[in-house]
Amino acid sequence: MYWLDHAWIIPAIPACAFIALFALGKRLPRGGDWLSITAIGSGFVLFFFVLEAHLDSIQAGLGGLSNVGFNWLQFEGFTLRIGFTVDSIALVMLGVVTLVALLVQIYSVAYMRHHGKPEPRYWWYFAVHSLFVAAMLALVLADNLLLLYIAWEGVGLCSFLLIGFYYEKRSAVEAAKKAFVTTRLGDVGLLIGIILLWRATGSFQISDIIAAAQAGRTNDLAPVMSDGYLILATLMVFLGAMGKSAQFPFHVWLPDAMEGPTPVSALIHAATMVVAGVYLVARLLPLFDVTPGALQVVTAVGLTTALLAGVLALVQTDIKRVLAYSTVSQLGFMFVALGAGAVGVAIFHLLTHAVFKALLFLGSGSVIHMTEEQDARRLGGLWWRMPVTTLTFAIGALALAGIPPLAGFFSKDEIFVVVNAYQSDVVLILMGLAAFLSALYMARLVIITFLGSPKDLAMIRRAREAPLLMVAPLVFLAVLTLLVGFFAFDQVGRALGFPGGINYYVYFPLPHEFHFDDTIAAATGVASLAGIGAAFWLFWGKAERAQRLAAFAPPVTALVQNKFYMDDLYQAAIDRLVLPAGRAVAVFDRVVVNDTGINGPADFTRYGASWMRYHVTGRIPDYALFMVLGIAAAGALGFLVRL
Amino acid sequence: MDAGEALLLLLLIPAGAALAILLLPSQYKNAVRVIALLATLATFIDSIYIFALYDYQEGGLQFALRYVWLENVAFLRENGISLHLAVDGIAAPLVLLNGIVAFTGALVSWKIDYRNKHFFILFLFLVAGVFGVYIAQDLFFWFFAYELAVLPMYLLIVIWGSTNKEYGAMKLMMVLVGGSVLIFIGIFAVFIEAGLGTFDLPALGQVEFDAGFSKTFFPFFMIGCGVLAGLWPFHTWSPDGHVAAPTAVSMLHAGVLMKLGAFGIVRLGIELLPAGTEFWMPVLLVLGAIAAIYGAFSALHQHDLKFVIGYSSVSHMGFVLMGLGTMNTIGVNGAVLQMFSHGVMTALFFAMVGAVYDQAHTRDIHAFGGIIRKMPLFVIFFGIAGLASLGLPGLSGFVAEFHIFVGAFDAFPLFAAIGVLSAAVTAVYILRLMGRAALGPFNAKWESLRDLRPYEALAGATLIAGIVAMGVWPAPFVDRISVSVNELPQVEQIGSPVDKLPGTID
Repeated sequence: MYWLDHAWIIPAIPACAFIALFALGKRLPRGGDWLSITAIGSGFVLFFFVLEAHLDSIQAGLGGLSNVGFNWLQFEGFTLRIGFTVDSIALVMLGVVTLVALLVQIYSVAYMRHHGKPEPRYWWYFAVHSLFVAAMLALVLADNLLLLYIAWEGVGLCSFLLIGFYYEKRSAVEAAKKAFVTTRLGDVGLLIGIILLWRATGSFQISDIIAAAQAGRTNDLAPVMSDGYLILATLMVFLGAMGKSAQFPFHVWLPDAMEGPTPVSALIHAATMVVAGVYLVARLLPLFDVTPGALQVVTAVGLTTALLAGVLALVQTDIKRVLAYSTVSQLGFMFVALGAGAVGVAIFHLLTHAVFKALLFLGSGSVIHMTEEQDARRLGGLWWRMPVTTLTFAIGALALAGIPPLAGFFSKDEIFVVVNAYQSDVVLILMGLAAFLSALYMARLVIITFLGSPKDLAMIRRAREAPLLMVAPLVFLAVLTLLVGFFAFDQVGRALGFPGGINYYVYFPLPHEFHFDDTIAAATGVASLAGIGAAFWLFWGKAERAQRLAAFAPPVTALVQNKFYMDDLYQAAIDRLVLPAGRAVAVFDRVVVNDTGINGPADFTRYGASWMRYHVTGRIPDYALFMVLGIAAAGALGFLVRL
Repeated sequence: MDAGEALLLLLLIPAGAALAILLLPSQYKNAVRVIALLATLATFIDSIYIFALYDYQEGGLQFALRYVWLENVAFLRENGISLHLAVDGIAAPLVLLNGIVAFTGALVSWKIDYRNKHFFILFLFLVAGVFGVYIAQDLFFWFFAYELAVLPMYLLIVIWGSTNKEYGAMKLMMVLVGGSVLIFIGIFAVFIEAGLGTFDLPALGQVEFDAGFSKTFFPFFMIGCGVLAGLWPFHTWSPDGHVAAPTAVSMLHAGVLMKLGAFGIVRLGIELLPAGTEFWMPVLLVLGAIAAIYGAFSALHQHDLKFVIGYSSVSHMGFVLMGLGTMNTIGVNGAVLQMFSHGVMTALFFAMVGAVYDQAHTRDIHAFGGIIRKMPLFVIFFGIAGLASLGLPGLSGFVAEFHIFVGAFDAFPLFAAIGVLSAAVTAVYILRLMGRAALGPFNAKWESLRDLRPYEALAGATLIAGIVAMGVWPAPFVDRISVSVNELPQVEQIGSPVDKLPGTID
């Protein structure tokens, strides 16, 4: 059980690696990439130790939980604790983060080089990577909302630094800023939510908060929080999750975040950081469960996002942006699963999505690295120059589309099962539409990037298969994509030492046996195949049908191509509201507060003095006159007073 | 704890060094620098000693020092004036803050060449004055030190300043002296009302003043001291003063001088006039919240680096006042933490701005672009200050603001929400500034820029050590602060879950 209580070592190792790299990264041989990879690799190894300890603990009937920590600061009535816990959700995340981070780092060694020479700031890239992994792992293991928030901001900072890695480019700087500020807006909500929950319960411990929220709703005690208070606090927390997980209407930052190096997109903006919002809601789901209306809000937001992002992914031409919108859409799927109250299902989709989306991003990175082109309109016909990349990318795409027996099929199918069980038919049908869209945009991407005939001969001549260090992670992830879906089966889970399949293992509120609903599986399979078929029908060859379809309703096309004008809306809000507010305050400060309020009395004194000065003439008759006037006035006053 | 001489040294070292410099011929510029630097280094070490040895188990006033013979001098005895020095848990971190800022300020002033003898004399008097305010336990000396800290600012700005310096210096002086007049009236009112014939603060603290008297005279301290803390709407002296002041003076000005105001509200207002505190504190909280959001939006519009930071200071000092206004242990703790945090952070900001202004002779954000290529260390240091300012966990700003928000949510949720929002606006203006000036395409005009000089880097690193120390391990600060905050009258203790759970919150 040692490792159950010492899981905090896993984030501590990359944190130390970060400090070392920050201090002397530039001077280390190879920019210290080995240090970062070793740190994360050892984290991945330690994950298995923790896993084993956890499973042992479950078998011994101890529940597999651990809770260690220390008081960060403390005074009467107020304690801030840094504590770590390992439960089934945390364990899945631990595996995902360490594995994907390790593969991405190995991949980056080759990706962050051009013609064998490391890119500028190669060491910085690995330093921030280490910090990111440390913060992400701390987030995963946090047993209280304070540490979670600290790590939450930490991963946000790393995301900012890595999106802005190519900071000579104006667009990269703007994208980094946009990502930070947009998520920060959500974090305002999160922080308020955390404090509101503390105010009611006197604790930042997740378990305490859940117990307090349930008190009075699941037993006969008086409730700790009134419904209104609970709704406010929970929705505030959800705002933070929406910002981080790029849910509508906060989704705008994620596509722009593709300015960062592609491995960063794979790790941070597909597999790990962006799922932090899903993770947070999963962890706090009992809270959402007892909050009236909260799960409906989660479902509505997830569903809206899944659909809208699916539509937007259809018209993007940049490979990475297609994948970014697809990530947004898939995160929406996870929120829908959470909205149905199925944590295990959401976490299962999180796991499979992390694997195949990392695969897709790394595949696109291999294309970008070898061809120096990421506009799909100028790619095409790459399959015979980059066969391994094409094959692995296609596996990832089929998994995302939901073709059996790949990972995405099982997890998506599970989502449909719970939606069917707990939600209305409207949600089910809309989710089916979203699944159809996923298949459609992924097939489109594969067709225009890898299949067909090359559109640019110079590009195709440049293109070669990526080096081994990049191909190996691709193949590994492709194999995982083939396998990971079978975690759904209880037999597989038990064979691996778990109590059951992943839904049984990551349970809430009750262990959930995997059950394969033939009707739903057939329906989703048909939707996926229809999506792929439609993509071939529309986009094969010169894509005339797609163009005709676009010309059919120009306003709709314009709406979609302009991303529903969401970016313009935000820009307008900034230009028309925020900046003018700043200007108004600044002008008010100058004119009213300073020039009138502060300079005014000074000017009054000066003018008053210069006016008074005219009466100091130095001539005796003038003074005599004032004396006479004064005496007369005094006399008059005396006269009046006596009356 | 009877090492009161350590406190006396805080006053004697700078004063003695100023005297030594006074006696030096003015062409010995390097000797002047060395003396000033060694003196500030000595006070820095002394302040660390005081901070470290303050026994937080025991709490209360420590390092107390009282010279009986001095009290028998005729004039002092007749008027109840004594030299009484001591620190409590609130003053201890602020003493440390002044130690850090004075030392780093002297470091970055190394390059001052014009009349550096006179510069350092005034600078050292200012430092001694600030220490005096933190440690004096006698109202007479308190006020004396307060004025000693404020008055050299005028000359320092007028002689060594830049942009619009006569106006900035005059405004600063007039507004602050205006505040001093209020404090002066308040002090005498307290002296007479108490009728003890002493200016001794602990003695006056025992007196139960009439509620009406408290309510009438609390605003004299709240506004009089508040002016120095950038209380809205009396804050405009501060940004203008920053812009006009030379680097080290800006550092002291924002780093420690503005804290004197907030500290004065605690020392004079809360400790002497509890009834007035209770009555007026909501006003302070509202004004603090206004300053927080108002300063943040103002900073959004500025394009002079120093104006951005100046308004940012107004915003962050607004948090301090908000924290005091909560009148609960968590919020007031946060206010004192924020004083320290903002002190080191702004000092770092101004040290860095000074480093670039001396070379570029402009502070216009739009005139720069991509200067990270020439000044990477500068950008890293400035960036750390920026991240501390926007409340990134792991740096000092988060710890302080978190306490303030928690305290404020308990007392006034709506204004607390405004505070959280203004912390988000901070992110916008800091990132906008960094994105414009430091990152992006390189502006070839700045090919000649050089990175930080060694002494600037040392100053920056010292300040960053303070920021990181508080951000990563705040317990030493909180231990000291909380013990004295708990002793403050009228500060309510909140947060223990036991008395919370039975009732319903809505």
